[in-house]
Amino acid sequence: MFTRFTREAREAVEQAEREARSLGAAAVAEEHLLVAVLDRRETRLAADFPGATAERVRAAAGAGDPDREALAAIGISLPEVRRAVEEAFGPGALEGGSRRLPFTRGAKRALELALREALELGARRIDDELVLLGLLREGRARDLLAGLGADPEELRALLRRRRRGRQVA
Amino acid sequence: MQATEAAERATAKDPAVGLRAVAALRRLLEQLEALQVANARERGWSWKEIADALGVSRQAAHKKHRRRS
Repeated sequence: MFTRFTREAREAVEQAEREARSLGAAAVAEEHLLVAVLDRRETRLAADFPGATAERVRAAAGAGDPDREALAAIGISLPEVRRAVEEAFGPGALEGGSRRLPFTRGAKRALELALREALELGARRIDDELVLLGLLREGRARDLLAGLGADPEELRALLRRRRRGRQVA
Repeated sequence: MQATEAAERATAKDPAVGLRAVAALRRLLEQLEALQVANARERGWSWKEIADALGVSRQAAHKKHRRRS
């Protein structure tokens, strides 16, 4: 699936996996991809979409980790425990080793849509911006951004416009 | 941090919060136990040594973890 991804896009996917692990998620979901891509892209998006930052999406998406919240209520920090364990045993040790996390159905769909974006925009390779465009087409990432006051349709239109401009230039 | 502590005090007596915490802690415990037992086995610890360290019987430790190591 990732053969046509640029190095940046692969790095973003790897970052999404780390993001998922650090939240204790069993799979890489759309919100993890969104945080990873925004983390790399937000400075360029900040002027038009101040709400679309990795930090804000992380806060909005991460709020739903039930085990982390439950443990925090008795004074145990799950991220701290995970950090200590991973320091000794490596990434993902708490979840049973360094094997890759699977992707949720929504995350797979977003990556497929990134491919479709590439075809539509005439791009030969899939970069992290196309992954963002894929995320913006449908699903949970759209809802998260909308909840933060960043209109996903507007963001998508802007990115596509800029991209076309670059290709013409 | 102060807000977290305040939240703790406010919710400490709510059974729903307390029970969820116990369940989450049990999941964390199982993960840690699997990891530590696998590590001990890799380092050549016997089931007897592992069981003693965990405070359970050798049979119990072996039965629970043998598939993974």
